[in-house]
Amino acid sequence: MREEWIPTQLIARNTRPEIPIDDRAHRYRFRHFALLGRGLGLVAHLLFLKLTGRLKPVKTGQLLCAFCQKMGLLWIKLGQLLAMRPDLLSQELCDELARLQDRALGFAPEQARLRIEAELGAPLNEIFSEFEDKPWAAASIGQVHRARLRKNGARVVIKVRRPGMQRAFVRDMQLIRGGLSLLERLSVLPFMHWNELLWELNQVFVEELDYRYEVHNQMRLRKSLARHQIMVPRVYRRYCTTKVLVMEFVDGVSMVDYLYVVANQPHKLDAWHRENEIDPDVVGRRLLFSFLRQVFEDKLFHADLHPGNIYLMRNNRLVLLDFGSIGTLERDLLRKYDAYLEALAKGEFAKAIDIFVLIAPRLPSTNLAPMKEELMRALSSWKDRCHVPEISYKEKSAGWVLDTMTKALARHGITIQWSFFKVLRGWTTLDTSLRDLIPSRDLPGLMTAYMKQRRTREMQQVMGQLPADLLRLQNLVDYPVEQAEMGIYRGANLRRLAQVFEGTTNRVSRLVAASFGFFSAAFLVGAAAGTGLCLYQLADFNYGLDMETLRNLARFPKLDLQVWLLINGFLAYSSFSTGLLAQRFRQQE
Amino acid sequence: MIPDHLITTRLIQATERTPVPPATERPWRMRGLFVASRLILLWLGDWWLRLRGRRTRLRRMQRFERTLQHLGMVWIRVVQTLSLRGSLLSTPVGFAIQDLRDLGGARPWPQMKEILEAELGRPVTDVFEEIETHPFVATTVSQTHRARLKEEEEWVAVKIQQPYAKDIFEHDLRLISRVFSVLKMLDIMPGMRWDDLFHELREIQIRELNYHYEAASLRRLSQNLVMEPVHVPQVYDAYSSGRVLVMEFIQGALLSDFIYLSRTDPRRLQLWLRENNIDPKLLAQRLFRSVYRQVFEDNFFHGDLHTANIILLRDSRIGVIECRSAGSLDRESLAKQRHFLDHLARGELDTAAEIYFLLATQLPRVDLNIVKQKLIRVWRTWETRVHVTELPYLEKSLSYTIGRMNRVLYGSQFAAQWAFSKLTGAWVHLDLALANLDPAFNYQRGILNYMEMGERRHVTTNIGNLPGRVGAALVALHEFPRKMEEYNLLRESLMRRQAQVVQGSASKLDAVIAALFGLGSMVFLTIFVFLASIFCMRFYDFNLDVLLGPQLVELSTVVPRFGQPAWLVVLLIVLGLQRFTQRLRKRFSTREYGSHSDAAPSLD
Repeated sequence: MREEWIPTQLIARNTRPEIPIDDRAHRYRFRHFALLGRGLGLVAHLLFLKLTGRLKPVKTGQLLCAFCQKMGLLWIKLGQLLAMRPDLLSQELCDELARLQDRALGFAPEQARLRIEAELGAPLNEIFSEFEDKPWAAASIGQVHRARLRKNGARVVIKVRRPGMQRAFVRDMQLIRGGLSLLERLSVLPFMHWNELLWELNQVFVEELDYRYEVHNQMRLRKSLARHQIMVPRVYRRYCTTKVLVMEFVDGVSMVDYLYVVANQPHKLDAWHRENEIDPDVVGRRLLFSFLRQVFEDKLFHADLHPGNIYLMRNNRLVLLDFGSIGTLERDLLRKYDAYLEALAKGEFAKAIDIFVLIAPRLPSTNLAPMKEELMRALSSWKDRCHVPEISYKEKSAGWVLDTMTKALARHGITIQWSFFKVLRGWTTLDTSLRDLIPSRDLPGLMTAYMKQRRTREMQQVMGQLPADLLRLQNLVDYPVEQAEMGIYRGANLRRLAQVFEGTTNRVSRLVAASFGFFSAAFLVGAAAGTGLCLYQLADFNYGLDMETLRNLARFPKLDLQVWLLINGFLAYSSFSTGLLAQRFRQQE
Repeated sequence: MIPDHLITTRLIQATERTPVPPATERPWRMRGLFVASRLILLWLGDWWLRLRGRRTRLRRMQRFERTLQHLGMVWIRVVQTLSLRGSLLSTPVGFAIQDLRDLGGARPWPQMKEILEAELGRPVTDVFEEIETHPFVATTVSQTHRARLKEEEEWVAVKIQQPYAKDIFEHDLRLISRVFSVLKMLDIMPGMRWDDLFHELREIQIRELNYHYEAASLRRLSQNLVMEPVHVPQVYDAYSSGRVLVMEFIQGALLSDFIYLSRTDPRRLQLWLRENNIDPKLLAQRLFRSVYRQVFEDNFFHGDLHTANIILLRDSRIGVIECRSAGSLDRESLAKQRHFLDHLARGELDTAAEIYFLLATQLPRVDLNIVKQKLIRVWRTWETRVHVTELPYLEKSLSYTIGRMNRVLYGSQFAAQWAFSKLTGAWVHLDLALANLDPAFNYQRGILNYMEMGERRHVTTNIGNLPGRVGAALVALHEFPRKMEEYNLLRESLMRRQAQVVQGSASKLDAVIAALFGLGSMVFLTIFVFLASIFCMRFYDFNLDVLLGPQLVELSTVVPRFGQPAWLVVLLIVLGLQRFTQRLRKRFSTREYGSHSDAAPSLD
């Protein structure tokens, strides 16, 4: 990163809040008990509120937040993961949970020094010429120190993992796994797919705890984002281990500061823009296009683009940070999502909705027409809104659309897989920045512009591969032969299928017809016997039978003529209708 | 023949290897007892260690391996084949089991010489200038001696079948078949398909006892690999028979020696590598390509490529020995396997799962969507891991993924497919070699590169016979319209019949329902008439005794007494029910066409 790209300051540096140091080593000692106690307390509190009828989603969210905040680490991530599903939980609850921030508590710098030395296998002075003891930033997993490399004098930041993380992680994960599998077993809220959530959580954690993943993510994205004119700080790979990550220091203006100034001191902005040759519109476009390009073209995207991870530099340059969680969409899903977005941008809403429904892994066997109508209405009102610059960005954003869609789907019993929600989170976190950068732009227009750009890029790529493709084209020659071969199989298969099909259906029909015929006959015999018995009882017809049989017949209870008529009538009717059915089944259709 | 300039310097002195011990006499005697006692000892020892609190994973693994080696080849194969199907594969233990070798003892030379001479048909000294009387490697069924041919003046390896090889196989297989039949009878793990597994074992027996198979495989393999930096020993047919195999002796370092040294003396290894101009990374890449080419292009692969069968040669070349079990697949499965790996590497996991399901001969009756989601999860883990160079190779290997997949599949009642066990074995062995040669190997990129290269190769080789293909295409085109017509006719008639049957069965079902409702309506009508007559009798003094008869009148007294309005309500309800069932009957007895076509959502 060059010197001339560094912008002037927007907010004075010294306003940066100090990071408190929390140094209690015993925090993980009685964790089980603490968890159990707090968990029971939470449940009791919720139950109490429920019983007294004061349970509101907001309150639930606040309580859950407090619980997760207290337990730290894994639980915060769990809360954040749950916040990604406004389609399943209520919106208020999710809003509350989304507020969960990693607690900015640092640990003692001596410990950080010790850890770095142990990991790098050399004294700190040997590698770094300067080392700032005060942590620059902190999160529950680790903290960041600024330093300067001795070798080339570059300013770097060192990310150090908090001590005892691995143990705490394993223990917490066990607890959560136990809890969630219990939920799964008891099938509490089965639509949440607890197992999937568990897997997702584990994945997030394994990747965030082990800095080696982050190093590789960063290196991969550095390569791919260079084409988007977006910078990613360089990683010093020889100083990176599982617990320590050393990378270039970025001296830019954080998007957080920028948004703060937009909200509170808008008069300062124009001067700053001019001074650093920044056009917010260009920046916003660049950010949005880059995200789309990451998702669809590079198939590897930064899943946590909140303002704290975006830095502004001179000349509309952008820097992205923190590659702890990146996303990849499975290609088939991606293709569907792509087709959906294209349809959306073109205003073909019916098609867009149909495609979106296909993203769900399983479809219920209900009538989807009302849901489609509902979505149609929402989308067309969104389209109208997009052309009105005065309406707030939030209601025009792509995140809003996605949110509406998933919620409507959930209401009709269709749940989308968790992996897809990484994109949703990407959208919503990105929206916070875009809201102030390009507040008035219409999204369909931007999307169409992106599609156009992409098409050009694809064309270029295709042109590059043209010679190879032409060579490959000769394979088309084999097509008729293959088809002819396939035709043989298919024809034979079809013929057999037709025969088998006919055979089985006929056999089944005949079987059913036979059983109905049997019943019909049985009923008829019953009716005849009933009539005979009636005549014997009331008119003393003995049919010339011997005494033995007549004595047996006499045991039958004596009934009136009317009752006999009823019974025989029913038997005859049943015989008649089953006979009709048998005939129906015997018919060739 | 391997040219001399590819021969490496010595990596390990012969004294550093454990010498081949003498073999036991008549090993099949009391075989069942022997096997049982070994297993019981293993189990008891495990308990003993556990009681003393000294049971570690490493120690258990070692004990297990030792027991298996005592039991011999057949049992090793059984465990190896079984572990290919289990989730054991994703652990270091399963990985180590795959590399287990069958180590037997040496029989006294006179005995072996007798066999050798009987097979050669002439004295040993006629053929060989010199022959080492102690074998340099031995399995439970064979031993291999180093010798020098008289005529060709070349060093060769002479593999001689041990006298009791056949008996050992017979006894072991009989024992195993008994165990399997018990398992089958008790219906333990029917998904394992014990019969098929046994069939595979029989196949192994046939190949092991007749060296003609191995000779043919070696010959075919060397033909296929002629363009590659992989060397296969030449077979001397004139001296080989069903029980004796004479082949070129490749002087080089085994990969297992390389591994041994990389653990004990890495500096010496580095020196040796430099001395012989060997780059392990290049070697890994060559091995990978070669195995993939063998599987997908030649459709004839070395099925037993474990670390003691790979020889390092100068300039990063590879020698491959001991082709006892070569594998090949039918064309269709091979194409599916190829597409599966291709989609997996490209990240098109949904399609990959679909193809994987196509590979199964029989799909279980479970919700395949759930299985698919689970498989995709396994593959996504692999996808994120495969790029992280620093992770241990085992955790990002294909074998690990296969182990995890097996767990999913086993949990979903998929039956085992032993037909692919050889291919899976080939993948695992490749992983074993890669893990030691280049732990940073990016498998995904490897597959993608191979696929691209393979396609290019295919295209360039195919362009040569373009005229012939055009001719075939013209012939096919000529036939095409007729074929299509026939095909369409069939399809049309099938579709029509299907539609008719669907409609017909629907209308038949309607008829049944209508009949039931008809009966219901009759019942309600009778009840209504009965109740109405009671009502008339009670409130209007109609004398209906004659009409109803004494029994029904008596029944009417059971009906409780209540006021006139309540009666009217009851009567109305019964009448309503009757009307309702009547209406339903009518509704079902008239046929409704087209009502079933829009039940399914139209998503085109």
